[in-house]
Amino acid sequence: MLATISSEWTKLWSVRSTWWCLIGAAALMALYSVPLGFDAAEPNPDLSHADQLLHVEDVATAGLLFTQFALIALALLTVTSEYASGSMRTTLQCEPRRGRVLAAKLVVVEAVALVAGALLAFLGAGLGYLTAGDYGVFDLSAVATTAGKVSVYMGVVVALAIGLAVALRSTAGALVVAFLALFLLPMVLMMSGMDLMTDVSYYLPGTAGTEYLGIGIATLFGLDDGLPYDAAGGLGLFAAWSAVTLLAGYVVFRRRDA
Amino acid sequence: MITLDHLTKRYGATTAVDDLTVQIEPGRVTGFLGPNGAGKSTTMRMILGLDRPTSGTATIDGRPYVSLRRPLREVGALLDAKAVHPGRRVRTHLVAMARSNSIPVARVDEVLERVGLTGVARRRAGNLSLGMSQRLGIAGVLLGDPRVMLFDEPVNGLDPDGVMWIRKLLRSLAAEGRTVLVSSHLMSEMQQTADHLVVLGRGRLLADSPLDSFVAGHGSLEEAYFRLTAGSVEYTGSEVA
Repeated sequence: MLATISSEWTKLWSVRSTWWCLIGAAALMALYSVPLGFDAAEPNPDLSHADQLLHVEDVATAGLLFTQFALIALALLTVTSEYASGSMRTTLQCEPRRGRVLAAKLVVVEAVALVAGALLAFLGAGLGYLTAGDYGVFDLSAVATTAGKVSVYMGVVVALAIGLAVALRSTAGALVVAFLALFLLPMVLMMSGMDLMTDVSYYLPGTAGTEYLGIGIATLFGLDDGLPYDAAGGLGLFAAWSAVTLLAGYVVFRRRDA
Repeated sequence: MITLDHLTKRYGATTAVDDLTVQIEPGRVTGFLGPNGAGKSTTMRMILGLDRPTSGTATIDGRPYVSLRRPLREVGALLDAKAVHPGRRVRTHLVAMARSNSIPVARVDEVLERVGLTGVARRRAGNLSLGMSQRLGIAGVLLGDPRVMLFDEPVNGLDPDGVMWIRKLLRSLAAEGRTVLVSSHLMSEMQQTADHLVVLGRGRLLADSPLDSFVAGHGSLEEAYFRLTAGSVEYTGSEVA
């Protein structure tokens, strides 16, 4: 198993797409956090100094609704790029036990996602603090707590991505389904204004995951009062989606010809 | 030795490989022939555990591929030379393969030398010519120094020097006592390389015989092959006047 993990680690860092995804994630984080900081730095005469303070742990999660897709792309490319090039067959010649191949890919992607998630949060908070001038408040323990949550969120979301990737085999297909499940579908259902649609939207992975992060899609639409779970429940539901998707992917991976 | 026992693969109504029973013996080059769609590649994928047989078994020295613990040390296979991540460098591609089977990384440089790719070791695999890609695929076969080797159309894209090089390589690998199974469409090339032939047509075994007795009575392997497979070609163009 260690040999297979070592091989996957080598493969992950020897393609440019991995680096581009990480650079993309950092750039997106900067794109969201820097304007928030500059915005806070402008004094507003109508508000007291205390009301204008920017607690930068909040900056760390801003834009994650989009930034996550850079890490999702990194995760699913470990699988779909091998199907696109045909090199999945080489991978399975090296280790024909498919469960082990999937586990090894999951281990290396999780290691990257957990670390990258925490670093992204610190990057966002740091940039927010540097640009907020007199109004930035950097509370290390608060930022670290948020970084932990972002790390866990990324860990769960990349597992979902890998599940989709082995089930669908195509980069575009997996990315579209991830975008629907995590972003578009919850929003479309909530915008419908119909109770049934809204109820369904509460149980989608995107709604549950963002509720855990504190940037809830439901909150965005003012529908968070109806949510049948709290932040911890959101994480549970999100993780359950991820586990089911991964299991479905594993079944497909085992059964289908390579 | 590769043993196929009533090996069958169906895709819906289509039977790609039909009740194939044959042994590929060590110490000789076995040519694997047949028209397009005869089931050669499907058979090779089933030997490697990539495709699941509908029925029957394919084993290597008595064991199915999926039960091999460090398979690259027992079986090497070149299926598709272009099946490499185009952005990964030549050497890194082999290093990743070596790591997966606990093969020392020094062995990577040995096989690069042997196939003549040392000079392009740092190049990205997508920038290789088809001939160089074939050499990279062959390096992957040699990596684990396996006893059993499969090559699917290894001379495609090679220049005459490359074709000669492969012929010598295959012959020397077989002379070392390895099991060497090679598919090809190039009859004249096969006539110079193979000791033994296994011929498929529409998934069925048409011949399993030494090259000499297969060709005997015909002018060449090509002629003998056309005679045998006359009823098995699925797609034919109109006769050229």
